[in-house]
Amino acid sequence: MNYRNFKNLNDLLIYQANQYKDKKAYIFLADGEKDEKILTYHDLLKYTNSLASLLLEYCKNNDRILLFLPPSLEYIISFYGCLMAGLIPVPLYPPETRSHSRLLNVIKDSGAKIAITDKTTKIRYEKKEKIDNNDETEKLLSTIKLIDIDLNNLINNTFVYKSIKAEDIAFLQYTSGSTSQPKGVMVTHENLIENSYLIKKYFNHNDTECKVSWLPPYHDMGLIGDIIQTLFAGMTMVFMTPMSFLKKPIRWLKAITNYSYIGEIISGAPNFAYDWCCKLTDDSILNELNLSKWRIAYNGSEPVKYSTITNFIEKFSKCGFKAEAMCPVYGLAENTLMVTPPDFKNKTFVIMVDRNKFKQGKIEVINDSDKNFNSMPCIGCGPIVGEIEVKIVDINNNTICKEGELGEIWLAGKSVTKGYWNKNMETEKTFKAYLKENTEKNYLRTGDAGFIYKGQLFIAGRIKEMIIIHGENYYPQDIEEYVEKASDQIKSGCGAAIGINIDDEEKLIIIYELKKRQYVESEIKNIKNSISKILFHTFGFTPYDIVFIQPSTFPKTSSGKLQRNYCKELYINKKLETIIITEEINI
Amino acid sequence: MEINNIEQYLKEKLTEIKSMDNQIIDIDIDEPFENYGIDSIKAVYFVGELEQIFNIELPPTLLWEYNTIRKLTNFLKENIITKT
Repeated sequence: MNYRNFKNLNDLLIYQANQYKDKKAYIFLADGEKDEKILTYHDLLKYTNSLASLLLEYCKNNDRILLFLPPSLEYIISFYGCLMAGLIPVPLYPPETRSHSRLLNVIKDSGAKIAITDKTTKIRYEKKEKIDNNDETEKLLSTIKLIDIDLNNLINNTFVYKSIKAEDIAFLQYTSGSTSQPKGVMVTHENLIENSYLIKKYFNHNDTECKVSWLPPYHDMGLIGDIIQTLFAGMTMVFMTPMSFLKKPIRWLKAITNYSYIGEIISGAPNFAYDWCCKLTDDSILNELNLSKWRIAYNGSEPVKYSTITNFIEKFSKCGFKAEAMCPVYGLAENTLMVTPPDFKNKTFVIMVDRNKFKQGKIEVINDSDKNFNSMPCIGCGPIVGEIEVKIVDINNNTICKEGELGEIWLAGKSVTKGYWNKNMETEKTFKAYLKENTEKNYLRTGDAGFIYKGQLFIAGRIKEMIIIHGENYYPQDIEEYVEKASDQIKSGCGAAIGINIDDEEKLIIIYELKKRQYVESEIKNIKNSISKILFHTFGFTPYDIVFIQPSTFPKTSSGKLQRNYCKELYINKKLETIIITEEINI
Repeated sequence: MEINNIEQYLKEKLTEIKSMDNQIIDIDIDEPFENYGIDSIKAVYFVGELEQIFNIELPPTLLWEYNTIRKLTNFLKENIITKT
């Protein structure tokens, strides 16, 4: 059976349920450790059907349905249940961890009128609604019908079967776009089948293997890479909530150890998670871990750090972790998920390049023997595969770059999604790029800069000015909007939030003009504190550095546009004209 | 745990979390956590550590609500007393 021939995910679900019956599909560790909640393939289909028939009492074809509950078996059933009913699920952030505004804008943008939730979330959500005095917020929330899902009530045995075409939208993935203008990627059934097929093929998955995951199911990596891939390959997936992992990162490695009896383990995460495991795992508990069955530890969704990889391998090889298991990968929601798969037969592909030439967009590989202070490690993010066309493009004239040149990564193939929901202009801009040499064929612009060397794709940074923090993309404009609210001494439109690579990690720097040339120290401290506070409460992070500069000194173009990259250079070279800070005068 | 111990424990924990970023800091018990560069995922880790040492369940948003060592110490003191 070639699974690539399935025309939608529902047919695949029915096929797998009939084939695997009482095999465990999903095991949820409710407490992150021992409290197992089990869902077999048979029950998955049963509940999915039952929920689908319930949903059809309220909804019609193509309605968007918000998934508004914490990661759980119910979350997975809700997702598949919407698909089975021919509805379009919109996976969301659980409400307690995020600022309200992004959530509301996603609800608005999707036009959803119904949300699936659980009892606890429903209560918390209604409480929040009262706290928020914003009229618009209340109005919007009161229009949403909340359906709380309880497996004990899903006993209806009606078999729902909707005819769904390959090109129909399966779900909306909100990952990109600014807070005020969120963009929902329209992922079709064909995209899901194609990309899942490629993941299975190039990860070499089989149904004796076990996935271990704590990744959020409202992001493509957790949803497609783990939840859907488990179904596609007929595997078993053991999972916990992201909260369980963040509270005790060792739970991830313990789960891998404990479930190795099922088979070889496939488990991945963004770079920071590997970094945390290195820093927070006490050497004394290494003997409780056995990571020898961990076949692929994929590392994706934020820049991969060379030091993290080497530290992780060094530390955990003592528990049987294999160096070749560490696999950087590359993907993005606009291409469903995967672009380049792991190179799991080899150790991570690292090359040293000339740093100065790199800055000018040229890749010059330095031999090991010539390594010096000017050499910089670049990490291969996996091999280019035949099914996905990858082009490195010089965006000044839309021509293909020569070998050894940096350019924007463009993609074509059946994994490229349909575009952004209700956003024709943005869809045109991102999904309809043409090479000068061929104006017939359109490409997806990834916004990422990269190069190809010996068949491997290397990611070098971003064309767009987005800032990535913990694997999530932020638009500087969003951050600036809040910085400007922090104090009346900050000059609106005369500053920027920029991302700067420090110690191989992207750090947020805030650079703003103030209204006066001179301030006393305590005033400056207060303004800085309120910036940190407002960013923390809105986004959950704080800036690495805040610099205040003299009025009218922020670099702008003649048309008044902010020159962020130039400002970045001035910051790095310490050439910004900072304000004068005087000591307190006590009279 | 005595009140001073809780405070001391929180100070040490904060120092430890900051050392993950290779930063060494001076700690002021009235300084909001966000000023130390504690982001949302580190805040959740911090809460996880507190849950373990005090053996109580805590909301992941705890550090938003009690955003200094002093406030957090008082909160923990009250809750541990009510519990026992």
